[in-house]
Amino acid sequence: MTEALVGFAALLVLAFLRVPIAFVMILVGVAGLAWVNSPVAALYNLGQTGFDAAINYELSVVPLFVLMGNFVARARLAAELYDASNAFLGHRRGGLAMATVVACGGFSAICGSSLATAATMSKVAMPSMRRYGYNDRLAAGSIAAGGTLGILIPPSVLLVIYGILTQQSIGKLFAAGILPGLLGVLFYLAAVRYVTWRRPEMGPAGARQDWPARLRALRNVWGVLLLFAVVMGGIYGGVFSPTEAAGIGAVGAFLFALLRRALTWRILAEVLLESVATTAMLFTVLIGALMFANFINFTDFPPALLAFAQGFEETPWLVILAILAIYLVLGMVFESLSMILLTVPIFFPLVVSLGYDPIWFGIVVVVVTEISLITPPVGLNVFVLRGVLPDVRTGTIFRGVTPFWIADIFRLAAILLVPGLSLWIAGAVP
Amino acid sequence: QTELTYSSWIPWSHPVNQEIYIPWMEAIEEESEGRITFRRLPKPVASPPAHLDAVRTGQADVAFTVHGYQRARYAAYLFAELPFLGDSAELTSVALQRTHEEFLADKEDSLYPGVHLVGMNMHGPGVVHHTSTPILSPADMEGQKMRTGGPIPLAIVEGWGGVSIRQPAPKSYEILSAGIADGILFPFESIPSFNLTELIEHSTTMPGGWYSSSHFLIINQRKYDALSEEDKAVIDKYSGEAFSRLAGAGWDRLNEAGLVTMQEAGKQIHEAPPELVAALEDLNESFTEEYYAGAEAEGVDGEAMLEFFRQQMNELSSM
Amino acid sequence: MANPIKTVEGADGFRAFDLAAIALAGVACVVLFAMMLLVFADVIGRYFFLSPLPAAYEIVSLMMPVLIFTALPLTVLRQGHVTVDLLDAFVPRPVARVQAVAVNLISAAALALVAWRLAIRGRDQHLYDEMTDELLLELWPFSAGMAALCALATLACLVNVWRAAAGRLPRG
Ligand code: NA
Ligand code: NA
Repeated sequence: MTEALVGFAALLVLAFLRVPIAFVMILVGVAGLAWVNSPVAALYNLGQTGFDAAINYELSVVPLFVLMGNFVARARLAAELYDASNAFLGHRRGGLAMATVVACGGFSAICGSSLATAATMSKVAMPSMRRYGYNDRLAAGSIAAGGTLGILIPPSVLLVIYGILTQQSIGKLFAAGILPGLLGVLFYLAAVRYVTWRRPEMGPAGARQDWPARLRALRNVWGVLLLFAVVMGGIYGGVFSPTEAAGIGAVGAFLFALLRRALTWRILAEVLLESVATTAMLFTVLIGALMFANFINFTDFPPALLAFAQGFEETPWLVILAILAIYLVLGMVFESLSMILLTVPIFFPLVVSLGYDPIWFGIVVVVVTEISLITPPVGLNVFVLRGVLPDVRTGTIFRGVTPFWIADIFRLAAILLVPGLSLWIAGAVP
Repeated sequence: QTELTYSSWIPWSHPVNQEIYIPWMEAIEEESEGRITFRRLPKPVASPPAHLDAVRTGQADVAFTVHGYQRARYAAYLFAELPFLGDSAELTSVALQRTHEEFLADKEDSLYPGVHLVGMNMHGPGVVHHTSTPILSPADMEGQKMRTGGPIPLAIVEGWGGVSIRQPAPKSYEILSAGIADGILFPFESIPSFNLTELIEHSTTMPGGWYSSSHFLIINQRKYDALSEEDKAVIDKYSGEAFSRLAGAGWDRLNEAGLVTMQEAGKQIHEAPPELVAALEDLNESFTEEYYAGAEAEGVDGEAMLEFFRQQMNELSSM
Repeated sequence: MANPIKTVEGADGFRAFDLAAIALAGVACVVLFAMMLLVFADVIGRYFFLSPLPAAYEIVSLMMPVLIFTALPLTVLRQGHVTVDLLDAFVPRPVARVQAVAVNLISAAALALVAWRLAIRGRDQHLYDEMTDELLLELWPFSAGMAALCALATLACLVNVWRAAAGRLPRG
């Protein structure tokens, strides 16, 4: 027990000193394993873990979904989604912000990453909201929050990682993310309504469009629908595995970008370079997290935790609440991937031993870590927006997302109380 | 007082652990009157093929692994993957162990460096399972997408015009239920343990098995050497042929239970018709030649080993 | 996360190193694109022609380390790794410079450790003849390559140390 706690403390201290989390986990993992097993074994385990993590077919899904997202971001599909949502919602009070949320939801259906969703949407939605005199707070808040839909609505890199870590079906996880994702869209719409009800001047109504214009705009989103249908239909129709879906989706997104003349050699190179850099970063974190988990595996922390949790057999939801609290606190510091890699190996056996559904828990974990993307002090989506919109202050964006993460807490409660939200669709697919 | 850490790359709740490796550990813990205890690590220390190396380097003290994971080093053992070896895992396991002792025991230091070999066993006859149609002739395999592991199942499927799907075994449910694969080659044990009973409609058995696979259990050499003579004797009592019998009999029980589960679920179990047996015998000739060549490259007389193995099988089955 | 495309400000004695890292990342780009096409061709072949690409499964898994480790030196150079920058606002400039030096030294230590152990893994794989399942390729060249690229990433960290000390490293 002592060893594990010292390990966690060392991890936090080094991370706060600004050492990249991946390297912190590698160093603490090796040192810890040397302590609880033996230095020789720890060193051999490092070489083994680094090699195993890299030579892995299943994990090829990660770079391929990242690549798909980056192609989609360049294929100008976001603009059409936004125009279509706008045609239906723009004339309402706060309508452009609502359109942003809906377009983010649509974009999430073809993009596996939250950061790419936020970055792409900001370029499309921000100018038009400004043109109509939207308050920056509401405008930026709706984009940052809308971006988080990217991780839950399938495809999703985080759900894939959860599935690989816990040996759960990625197809089921994807299906399980659909309703909670749509619920997220609804709750965000409610948040926009609430904000503009309290302060109408923050989101004035835009021009109303007639039905012919609406239908025209709607016709243009076929690209998104097609790509979504190919990827998800292919998975559930048994044409290809979720691992292969990432490759098919990337080819589809590549063809789209190509046909829309959105690709020059330079842009292709940028898309690929961005994707491989993200991949290298993700896998370093993965190797670090595996090393740290290998250290924890050798301590008596996992059995102790399990024994402790079994004391709550009568009130297992207390354990779930404790886990959620830990996530919300960790979420202030860590970004979602490191958090999932670090905690799921520890919490998963616990939650399953208490009789909870592993797919449901995956959705809960992703929603909680998603919230961390927009909560201060460290909210990755907020920082991404800061990068794209240098003239909007971080504080403004954080204030803007507040109603949205409050909406997220309501959604989290709904997912906790109604497991069917996650499991109905998942139960119906193979 | 010695604590040995055991790393398992299949879950602790897996029937093979419940039926074979946990009873083996408990027998030693009891026999040693608690001087030797096993610590079951919650998660494996490395990927499945890396467990030999993991035990050698002390990342864990005890583990089992598969000869087929190291095809070059263990070329001499790969006859254990061939079809028609035998229907009882207990007998094939003992015959395999005896063959090892006859031909390779003196090479243990170079074949198993840094680890102490406890014993080896086979997983019993491999079976062809299909989600919708029975495979009763080579033509039935044409165009069928079959999940395979190891070279023999792959060669059978591709040799008869099927499509081999390579996916990790834990993905079996996902690929079969989605229709990415139409069938799978597994011993009966794996059907319920991978939760596939509801998906499979037809199974075709082959006398002596479509294929097989051999596993072996190892202890870190230094950990073993550091044991007292008395404790070594306890481990040795559950090693060699004793281990082979225990593990093989365990697999027989699990395969039988798998078969019964499928029969009770109303699944069709077919025996391979003579035509199919003959076709596999044809393929087996090249499999065997390949094995001989591989064994020779490692400086071992594969033909003599296989002959000895068959002779042991005859003796064991006539008892 | 720093933008990986962004070029390092100004030129210094390590310009050649920057270019080498970019060239290696270019290899990663080619491998990623090829991997995408390979998965696609495998599915198409299996579904329409009942003949998947032979050993696609294994080839994809072998492409992964190439892709990851050729992209690593540039990712390190551009400080593309996730950090907790919560305290940045409270760290005065001169301290931040010392901090950047220290952080990159610690990172270099971690990467050097990984490089060394991958090299040992490669030596063992060579010694014990470990090979892949289907194509029967020797595994050691892969771990040796990973070790060499990881060593380069270690050097990239040291270049960052140099640049941080000279006050030329932007906050990542
Ligand atoms: Na998504
Ligand atoms: Na946060």
